[in-house]
Amino acid sequence: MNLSPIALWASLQSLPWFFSIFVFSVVLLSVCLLFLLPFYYLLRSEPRVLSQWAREHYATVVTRPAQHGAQAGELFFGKLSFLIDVICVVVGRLVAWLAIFMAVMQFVVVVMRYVFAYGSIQMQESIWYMHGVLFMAGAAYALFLDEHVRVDIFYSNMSVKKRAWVDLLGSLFFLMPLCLTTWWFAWGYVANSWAVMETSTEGSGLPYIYLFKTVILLFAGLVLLQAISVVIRSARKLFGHSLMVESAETGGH
Amino acid sequence: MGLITPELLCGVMFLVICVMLMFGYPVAFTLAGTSLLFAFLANFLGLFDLSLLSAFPQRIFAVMRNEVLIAVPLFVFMGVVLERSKIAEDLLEDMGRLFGNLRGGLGYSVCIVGALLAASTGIVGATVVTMGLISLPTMLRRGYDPSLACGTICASGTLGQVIPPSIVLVLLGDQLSTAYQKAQFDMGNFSPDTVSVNDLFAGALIPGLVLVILYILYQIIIAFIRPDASPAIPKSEEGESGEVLGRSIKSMMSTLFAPIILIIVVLGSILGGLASPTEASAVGAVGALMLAGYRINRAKGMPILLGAICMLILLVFTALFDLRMQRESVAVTEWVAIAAALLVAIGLIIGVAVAVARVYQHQSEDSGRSTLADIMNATLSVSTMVFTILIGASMFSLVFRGLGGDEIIEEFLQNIPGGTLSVLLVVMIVMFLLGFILDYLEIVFIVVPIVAPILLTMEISPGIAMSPVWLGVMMSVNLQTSFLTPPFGFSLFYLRGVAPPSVSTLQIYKGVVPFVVIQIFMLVVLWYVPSFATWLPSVLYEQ
Repeated sequence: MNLSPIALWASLQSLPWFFSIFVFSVVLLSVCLLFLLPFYYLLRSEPRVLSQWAREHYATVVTRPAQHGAQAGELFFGKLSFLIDVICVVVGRLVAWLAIFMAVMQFVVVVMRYVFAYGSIQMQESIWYMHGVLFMAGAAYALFLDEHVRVDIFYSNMSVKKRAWVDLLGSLFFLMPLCLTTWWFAWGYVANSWAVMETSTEGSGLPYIYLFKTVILLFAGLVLLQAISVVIRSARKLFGHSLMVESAETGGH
Repeated sequence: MGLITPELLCGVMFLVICVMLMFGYPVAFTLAGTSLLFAFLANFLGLFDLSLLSAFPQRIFAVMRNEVLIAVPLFVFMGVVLERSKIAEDLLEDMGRLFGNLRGGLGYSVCIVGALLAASTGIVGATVVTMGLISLPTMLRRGYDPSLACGTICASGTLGQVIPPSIVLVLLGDQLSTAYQKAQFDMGNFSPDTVSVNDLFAGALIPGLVLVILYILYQIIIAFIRPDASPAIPKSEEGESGEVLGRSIKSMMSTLFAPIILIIVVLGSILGGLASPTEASAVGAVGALMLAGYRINRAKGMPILLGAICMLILLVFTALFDLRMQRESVAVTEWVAIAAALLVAIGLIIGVAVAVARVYQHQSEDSGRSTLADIMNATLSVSTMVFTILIGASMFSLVFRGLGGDEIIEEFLQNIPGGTLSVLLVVMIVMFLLGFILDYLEIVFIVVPIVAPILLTMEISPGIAMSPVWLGVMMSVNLQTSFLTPPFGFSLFYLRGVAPPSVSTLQIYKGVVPFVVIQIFMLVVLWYVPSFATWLPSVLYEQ
C-alpha cells in the first residue's frame, strides 16, 4: 500500500464523503498525539538539559584545570575533546528518542495490520530506518558514556592510571584503525548507492536507501571523533594536570 | 613463508583476542580491532586479500535492515520501562508479600519474577543486579541463609535468558536461522526448511519453565529440611490488621496481574503464531508504557485504563466483523463497524498519548531528568552495545573466514573420534569455558556462525538430522550454567558487586552449587530427550 499523499487521497475519494472526513481526522489526530507530542516535549526541555550538561562538562575539562594552573597546550586539547563530546552527546540524545517513535510506529503498524488489514511497506521501512540510525548514530554516544561492555575481571580492579593506559592504547590501536578501515571501504559502497539514487527493493518502499547507507559513514566518523576524545581524556589522566585524575576518581567524566 | 601458515595465524589470532579482551577495552572494538590488525599482518605476509574486507559495509547494512533484529531495541525498551518505572520492583515486593507467610516464600517469588523479567534480560548482570539490590537485603533481614539467598538470586537472575522473550534468544534465533540455511545448502538441499525466532521461543519455553519449577522444588525441599534457612515472615509482622491485607490484595491486582498479563499477551501472540517477535515486542513496549503511565498517577489513570479497554474492544471487533478497508464492496453494517472501530482506536491513541505524557513529565529520582528521557538513554545504550558487538564480531568472522579458519574448524570437528555426540560435547565444553570470559552475546555472535553450520549438517542418530531448535536450547542452558559456575561465573561477580560485605564470597559460591547441579541435570535431560525442546514448536508450527 502506498502512503504517498496522492495515493491516499485517491483511496479516500473512493469512500463515502462523510467517511473520508472521518478517516482523515482520525489519521490527523493520531499523528498529532503520537508523534508531535513527544517531539514537542523533546524540543521544550532537551536544549535546557543539554546546555546545563555542557556547562558542567566544560567546567570539568577546561575551566577548573585552568584555574588550577593547567598548561595552555593541555587546555587546547581539553577544548577539542569538549567539542567532540558535545557533538556526540547531542547526536546521541537526539537519536535516542527514535526508540519511542519506533515502538509507537511499529504498534500502529500492528494495529492497522491486525484490525483493519491495512499494510504499508513505507511505514514498515521507516521503522528499519529508525532502527538503523538509532544504534549507528548512537554508538559514539555510548562510547562517551562508557556503555560498551568490557571484560572487567581485571579492569574493575585497576587504578585510574592503568585504566587510562588501556583506553589510550585500545583506542589508538583497535578503534581508530577500525573506524578508518570502515570509512575507507564504506565510501565506495555508499558512493555507488548515491550514484544510482538507490531505492527500496520493494516497488512501493521508501526511495532513500542511499541516505540510509550514508549512516555507515556517520557511524565511522562519529566513533572516530569520539576515539580521539577518549585518547585526549586518557592522555590527560596520564600526563596532564592532576585534576583530571581526581575527577576520574570521584566518578565525574 | 612455509613457517607461517594461515592455520597458525588463525589460532594465534584467536588466542591474542582472548588475551586482549582480558585488558578490559570494550569487547566489540577489541574483537574487530585485533582481527583487523591480523588482516593487515596476513596481507603483508601474502596470506590474506584485503579486498575481502569490502564486504564489511554490507555486513553492517545487513544488521541495519534486519527485520528480526528490530525486536531487540523494542524488547530492551519494554524491559527498561518495566525497570525504570519501578514496576519490576513492585512485582518483586508484592510477590514476596503474596508468598511471604510461606516457608521459603521470598525465594519462590524471586524465581518467578526472574522468569517474568525475561524480556529485559539480555545481558548477564542486569537482572542479577536489580534483584540483588532489591531482594537480597529483604531476604537477609528476614533471616534467610545468605548462601541460599545468593544462590537463588544468581540462578533466577540468569534464568531470564533461557525463557522467551529474552533478547538473547532473538539474537541466537537470528544467527541459527542463517546457520541452518547454510548447513542445508551444504547438504545439497536448495529448498531449505527455515528455523525462526518463533521456533526457538517455543522450544525454549518448556525447558525454561521446568527450570523454574526445579528451582522452586529445591527451595521447598530446603524449607522442609532446614526450616531456619528460609523462614516465613511471622504472622504478627505481616499486616497489623485485616485492612492492610485487603489493600495489599487490591494493589496486587494492578501491580501483579497487569505485568503478567502483558507478558502473557506478548508471549502468547508469538507462540500462537499470530505475530512476529518484532510485532509482539512493539505491543509489549507500548503496553509497558501504558502500565508505567498508570502507575505514576493511579488516581488519574482513567484515560489509560480506557485506552486498554479500547484495545480489548478492538480485538473483539476484529473477531466479530470484517474490518478490512481495502475491498471492492463493503456492506453498510461493516462501514458502521469500521467507523466504530476507528472511534475506539481514537480512545486507544489517547490512552497511549496520555501514558507517554505522564512518563515524560515524571522526574526520575536518580538523574533528575524526565523518566522518559532516562528510558530512551538506557534503550539506546543497551541496543547500541548489542549491535556494536554484532558488527565487531562480523569483522572477526570476515577475517577468520578469509584466513580459512572455518575450514580448519570443520576439519578439526570432523576428525574428533566418537561421532556427532562427542563433537557436540567438545563444542559445548568450549562454549562453557568461553562463558567464563565472554558474555552471552559475544559467544552467540562469534561461535555460533562458525560452529552451527557444521553441527547442523551432522546426524544426531542415523537418518535423523540435528534440530536447530534443540541445538539453540542446549547452547542457552549451557551458557546459563557457565555464568553460574564458581569461581568464574559472570553472575557471581555481579552479585558480589551489590551484596553487602557481611556476605562472604564463599557463601555465594556454596549457595549457587545446587543450582548448577539442577542446570547440569537439565542439560542431561535435554541430551537424552531432545523432544523436550522440539515438541512444542513441532506442535505449534507443524514442521
